[in-house]
Amino acid sequence: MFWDRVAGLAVVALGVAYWRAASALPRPLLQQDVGPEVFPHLIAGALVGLGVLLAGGPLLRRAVRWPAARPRPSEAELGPPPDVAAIVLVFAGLVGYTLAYERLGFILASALFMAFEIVVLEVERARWLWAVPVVVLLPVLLYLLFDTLLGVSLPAGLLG
Amino acid sequence: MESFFANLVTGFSIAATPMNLLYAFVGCLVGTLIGVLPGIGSVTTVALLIPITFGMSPTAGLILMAGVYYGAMYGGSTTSILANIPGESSAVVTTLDGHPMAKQGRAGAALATAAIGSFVAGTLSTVGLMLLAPPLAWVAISFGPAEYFSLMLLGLTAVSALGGRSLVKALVSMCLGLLLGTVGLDMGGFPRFNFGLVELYEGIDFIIPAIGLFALGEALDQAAVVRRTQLRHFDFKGRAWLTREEYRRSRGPWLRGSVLGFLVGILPGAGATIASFFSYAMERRVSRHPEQFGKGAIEGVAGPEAANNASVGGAMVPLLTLGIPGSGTTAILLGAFMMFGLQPGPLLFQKNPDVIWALIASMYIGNAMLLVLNLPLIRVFVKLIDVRPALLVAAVLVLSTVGVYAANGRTFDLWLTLGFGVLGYLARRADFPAAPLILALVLERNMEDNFRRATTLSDGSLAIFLTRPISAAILALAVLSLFSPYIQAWLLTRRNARAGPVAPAGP
Repeated sequence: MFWDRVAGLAVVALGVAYWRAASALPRPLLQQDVGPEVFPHLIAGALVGLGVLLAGGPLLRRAVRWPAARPRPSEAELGPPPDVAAIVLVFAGLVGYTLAYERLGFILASALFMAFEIVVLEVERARWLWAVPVVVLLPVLLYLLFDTLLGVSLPAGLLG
Repeated sequence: MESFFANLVTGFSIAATPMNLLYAFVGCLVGTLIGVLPGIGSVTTVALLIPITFGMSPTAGLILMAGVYYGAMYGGSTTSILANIPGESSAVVTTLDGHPMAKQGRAGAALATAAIGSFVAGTLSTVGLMLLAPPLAWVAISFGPAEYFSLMLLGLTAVSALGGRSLVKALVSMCLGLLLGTVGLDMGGFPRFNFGLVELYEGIDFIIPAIGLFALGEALDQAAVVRRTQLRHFDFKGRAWLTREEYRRSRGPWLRGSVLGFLVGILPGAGATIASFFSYAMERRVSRHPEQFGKGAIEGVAGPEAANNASVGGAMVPLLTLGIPGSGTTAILLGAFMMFGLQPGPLLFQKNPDVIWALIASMYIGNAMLLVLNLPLIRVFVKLIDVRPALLVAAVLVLSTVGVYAANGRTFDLWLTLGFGVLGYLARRADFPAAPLILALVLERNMEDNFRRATTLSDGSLAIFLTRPISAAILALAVLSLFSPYIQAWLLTRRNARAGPVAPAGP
């Protein structure tokens, strides 16, 4: 509920900012044409309206006795609380991976990234060893498949 | 009628060349393999595999992607039945009776009825597509920009109304997609909203949000639970086959599911999930033993599995004839069409009939291949369910970067994808559906072009959308679709009120 209100206000703010950015666009020379700002203005208007509904929806609904279309999710449907540490580590891994992507090249960066993720996410340490062949072979195979066979270029980096 | 068969023959002659047969085969195989992996839905599978087609001809690429699409739809059923993990919402129904069947040691029958049902449904719905698409394209050829704009709006509102739990959130997601679609050059050639970045000059490549929101979002979602959950599934030994009795009980559900799935699949926004739920409800109603449902009734697997595969053919109808996708997966397919420089819609039937008919022919071939492939290989596929989730998350993330980087060869796109990944994960937690966003993003340029052309014709007046009768009728449908969840809720409360005090609906 609280987060819906925050999201609603953020959507309103986005709508307003977008409206202003659209208004600042240069107009076309031919006046009778519909300018590049008209369609964005419609979207911006919709965003503001939807943001208000999202932030104030429950209040409005109570006021006009409008039924909720669908029931709220139950605890069971939402699942267990998220493992924040795991998400942060995976995300940090992705940032490192992106930084290393062109510097180290696809094969090295991918192998290091996979090794890191498996150490972070795999709780049974006995499985680490089993993952080694995949960690080594998958990046090489993907590189051969895409870069060499399909002609989709990937960074070679240090190995290039 | 003559040209109809001529077209089909041409289609088969293109689809049946050795290379194209190979592409159909690879598409089905890889689609099934990735679809079997727990937690990976067909949207993610299709998005992840798009880069394979980068260097291919449009026909070959589309044949491959179509194979991936129905391979993934089918592959998900294996995971639902054996591991009770639906890879996407359309596979949820299959777990209801499929998993109990596996527990009773009847996994072979459940897998076989799913495989044969998918084949029957895939083939019948391709027949439907073939019969319905050309006349519809012929009608749509008379549509002007106003009608097209309204039609796209209908596609977006229908997906938003049916796709999520909260209509407002779905619409926010849709508007966000439209907003992102306006980034880049507009039809007058002016750059817009690119923050001065060269990388955004031509707009956001659809593959970036597609992979970010779906593949990365799903991977982060799994990462959030992977250290806390234990995966357990039932071993599968023996053969995937049906006894005479099981065949007799599956036949009806296959046929009913095929027809229902195809028809529901045509409607924008409805698609596979609703088709499978409808089919389940229908089978339970017509069954002489409704009490068996939920405890391992084979009809409860046969019907929904047929329905969700038939919806693929149905979904192709508006995609090919009108250029309007009805789901996240078809939106990504539309993106793939555009990537190849093809614009689905009535003109495609005139300009590139070879591509369309080769695609249709390949759907017949692909479905037959899938059946031949799946019944004997099912024991190999089952091994994939054992892939450790940690390894799976890592591999999916690596594969995601390939598609993104390969599109333009720059790390800027990887950063952008990372941003979309975080957005996708947060949206999942907060119940914002991602499908309306991707759909809106793919459609935006076309929608705005048609909007501006229509309003230029009317000297800037928005009334043109209401004064043209077909456009007005479509807009009325769009408004109606927005209120459909509320109308449904209102009808339900009325019915309950009339039925008097009802028992409390569980805890």
